[in-house]
Amino acid sequence: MATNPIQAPAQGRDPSTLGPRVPRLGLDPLLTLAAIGLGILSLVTLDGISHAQMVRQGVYLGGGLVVMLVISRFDYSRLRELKWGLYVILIAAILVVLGIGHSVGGSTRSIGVSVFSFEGSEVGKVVLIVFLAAFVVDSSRKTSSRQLVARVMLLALAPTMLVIAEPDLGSGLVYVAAAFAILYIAGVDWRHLTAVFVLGVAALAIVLIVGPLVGFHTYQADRLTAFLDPGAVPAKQISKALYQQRESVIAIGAGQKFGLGTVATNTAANFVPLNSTDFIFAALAERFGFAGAAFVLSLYALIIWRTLRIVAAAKNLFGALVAAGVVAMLLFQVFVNVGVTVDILPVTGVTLPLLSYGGSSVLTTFLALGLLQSIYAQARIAAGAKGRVLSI
Amino acid sequence: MIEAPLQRRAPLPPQLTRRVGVLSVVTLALFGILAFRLWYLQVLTGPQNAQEATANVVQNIPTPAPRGNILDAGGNLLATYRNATQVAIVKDDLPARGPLREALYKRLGHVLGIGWRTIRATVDDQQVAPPGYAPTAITYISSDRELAYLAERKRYYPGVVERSVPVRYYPQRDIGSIVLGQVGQITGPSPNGVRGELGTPAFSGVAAGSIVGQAGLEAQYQPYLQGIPGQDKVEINSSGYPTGAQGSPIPPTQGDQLGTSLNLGLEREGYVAMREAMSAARAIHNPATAASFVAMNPMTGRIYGLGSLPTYDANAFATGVSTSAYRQILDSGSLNDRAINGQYPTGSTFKPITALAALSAGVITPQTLAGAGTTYTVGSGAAAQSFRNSGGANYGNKDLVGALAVSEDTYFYPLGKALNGDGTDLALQNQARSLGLGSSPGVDLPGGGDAGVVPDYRYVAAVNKADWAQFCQGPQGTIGARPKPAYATKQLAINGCAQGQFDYWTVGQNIQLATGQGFLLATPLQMAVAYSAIFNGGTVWSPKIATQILSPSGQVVQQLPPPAVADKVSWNAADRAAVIAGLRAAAQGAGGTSDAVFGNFPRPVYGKTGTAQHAGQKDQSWYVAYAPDAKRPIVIAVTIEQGGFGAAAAAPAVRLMLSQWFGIKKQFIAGTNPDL
Repeated sequence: MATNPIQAPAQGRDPSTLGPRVPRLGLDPLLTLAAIGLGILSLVTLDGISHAQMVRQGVYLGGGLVVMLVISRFDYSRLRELKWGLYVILIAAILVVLGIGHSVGGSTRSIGVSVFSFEGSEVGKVVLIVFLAAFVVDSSRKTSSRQLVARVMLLALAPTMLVIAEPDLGSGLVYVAAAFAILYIAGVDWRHLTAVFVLGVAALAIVLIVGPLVGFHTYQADRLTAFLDPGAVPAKQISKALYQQRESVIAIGAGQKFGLGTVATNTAANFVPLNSTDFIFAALAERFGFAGAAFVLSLYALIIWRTLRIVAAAKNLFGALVAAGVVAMLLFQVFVNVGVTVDILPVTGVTLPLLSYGGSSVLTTFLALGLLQSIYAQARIAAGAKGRVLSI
Repeated sequence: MIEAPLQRRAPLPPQLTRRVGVLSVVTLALFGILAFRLWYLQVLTGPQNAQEATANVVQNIPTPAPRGNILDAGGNLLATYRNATQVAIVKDDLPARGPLREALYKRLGHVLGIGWRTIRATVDDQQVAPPGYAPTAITYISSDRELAYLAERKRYYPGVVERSVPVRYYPQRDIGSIVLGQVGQITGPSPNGVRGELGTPAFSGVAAGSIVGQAGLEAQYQPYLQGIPGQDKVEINSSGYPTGAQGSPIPPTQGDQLGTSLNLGLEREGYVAMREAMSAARAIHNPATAASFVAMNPMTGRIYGLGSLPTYDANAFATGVSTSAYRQILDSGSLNDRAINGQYPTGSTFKPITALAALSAGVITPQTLAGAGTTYTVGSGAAAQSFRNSGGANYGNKDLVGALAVSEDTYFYPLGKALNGDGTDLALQNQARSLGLGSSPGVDLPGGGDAGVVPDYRYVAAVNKADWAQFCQGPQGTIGARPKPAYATKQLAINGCAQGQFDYWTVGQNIQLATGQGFLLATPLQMAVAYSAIFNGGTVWSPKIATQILSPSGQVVQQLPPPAVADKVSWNAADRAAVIAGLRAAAQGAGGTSDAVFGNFPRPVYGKTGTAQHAGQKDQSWYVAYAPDAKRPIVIAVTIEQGGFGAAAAAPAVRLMLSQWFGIKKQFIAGTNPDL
């Protein structure tokens, strides 16, 4: 520091004069701009599909922005004290949904219930991240690395299994990814993480590959088999998932370099099912071409880069872990969702943050962004209090 | 570093920066994979995908073919088609299953005036639904207002399309609707295991969702009338609506035309005449609930006309019928073709058959005089049964011609007794059966017409056994057996079970049969066929309505098989001549039962009245007539349920139809002769 001539005079300055240079509460401008940009792209893409959905998405995005702003004004550190309450609420919400779902009866699950179940597992992502981060912070000193990994994984697995049973495989995988990221940033031994990862893959292999052999069919298994070997599964069971991806690839490819603009008809004419939710990236890529798709990916990359910076700059471990969980959540969703639409991953049912139509997905993302903004703001305040300029 | 107490417990891990760096590399790698894949899809193989995508938005949508026309003998249209605006749903373009889709159904149902659950059921009916991109018909728009409303709000009705489609049109509306039949959407297998029409031989090659013939001639000649659907190659725009045809659409091919021997003028007059006869009957307090007629050429077996009342507008089914409208038609009894499926006692119209049986058996000669008195009695003491002339008249002894002319029951009762023999003699039954009674005439309509019943001792024994099993406890024939509880209050069951049987074959049964009463059941078509045989010298026809298949442009494609000869009966020429003379005297001789109706008719008419009695109902009016003509001979059978005496209702209706047929001034003249 002494070698820095610019900062030298500031050492003796009265802290009160630093007020204008270090705002008490700020927003990360790049993060905010990228989020707004994605929101606008969502509205533009939806307008070509369904005017009514665009209008509603506008309302969701507006509401989400407000939620983000409100959360950014609070100190996220207080959430640590509420961790067990949050966990109980999370499990209870999922259990209630499962219970009602069963009482109504498998496939004839009522609309109200299915909407609720969707929201529960979606918002649950953020709740679980906050809980796991708090749990790790509170127990990292008292327990060994191996024990910490085991406990965190068990705590994450309970809600994961419950939402997979709903069935919402996508959200369940996000939970697991977030748990891994939090443990990794918390500094646990990477070999323990690797061991858990291998165990998880083995368990998944048993469910998806050995299960069908002994007559236990799940639609996820069928999808995976269909993805790996389209000839192996009876046409009736695979057609839907395979059809989605084939049409999606055709639509994306048809966009070529600069897109078809408003004459993009494949996605809009519903040849690609779920064109406003899980497959909205196909609609966008058809309409705006590689240029547009690459731009969207850049915006996501920007968000993740900013989030990684926030991980590094957080004023405390709790903040760093929450931000790490959010990184995992966003990265996983973007990679899996886009990976499905470009047919390099099997259909999973994960939404594309901020772009996919849907109130709960938008709300969840803005909750996460609000936490990030709060961590960012708190980091700046802490740095200001310490009299140094935080360069993030 | 100064930290608050909370933070001090968990310091930032030393390797944080390195691990964040690793995460950054992972992020970069994942985004790199996505970017490369997108580059591959959009830039490297983009042109191929673009080509595939264009092929993708051009869909083949089947376009329904107009059904072939049904023509009368003179080429007049009995059934054709018109273009109607159909509201259809393209399932693939609907909002996702759930509240959005339901809301759409509700909006649409409100506009169209149908329940949203009906729409949902139609769209979700997997058995008959066409492929997802092809339209499923919901209903037809009748007003321009509905059309304009939907057209202006397409944005709020994704997946809803309007299109012009050919629908069946019956220009004669309720005339002959029962003969022409109905069309409706082809039925698939039902949940309770009924197979349905789809995929059966009669409907081979017909796609799900197609409109097919389901009754009458429409069903009987379905394969000829169906036509071949075309294909529209349509580009779908962003709202899911066709932007206009692309490529060359394959036009649908209209079905072939069906030529029939029906005569439109006679068919119309048949309905007019039945209605007039029914109102005349009602004027004298007979309820006249239903009526039917058959007109045919006795020499060729071709049907000229066939009708049944009550009737319904055949167009009701052409554009789909609502449940309530269907229920109304069904409850009115309009779907019952009484001309071929209405089974009734025939009353005195049966007497010529009795006469021919008695003549053939040698029981009488045409010159035999008999019948004096008002009553004929068989048996004696407690077993005595008496049979009276209608109205208690005494016509004195008559020969056969005279007895037929006045329909003298006391002449025919003894014939019934004589032909009964020891109770197992079937001379009368065999004569009736050889003339087509008791078996289906095999007309070219679904089912071929009902068989009816010519009762004999075996038939009565079978009925008796069935009744016993239904009503009584204990083995059949047990005198004093108790009625089953469910029937314990019914006098019939109590008596039947107590005496060991319900009804049994007696000479009285054969006497009743001789005058067309008792257990005898026959349809108007069977009576027309039987009378045709009497007048053509013994040829019993299996009559036909359809004559030929013509191309849509009118070229004869195929001659359909002519009416088949079901049986050939031979009589002594003098015997047959006497019966024919008796029928002439009945229609146009002084004192004949229908002389009041046909006495002043300018052409020869041979006809017989009949008045069938039903317990608890007014009498049923019958008339069967023959009018000779070198080119267009005709036999007409008319019956009017609860219409009163044959001469009062059915005979005047026949006169109106004959007037139409021969171009004579129409007059409704009712007789009053109380013939039974």
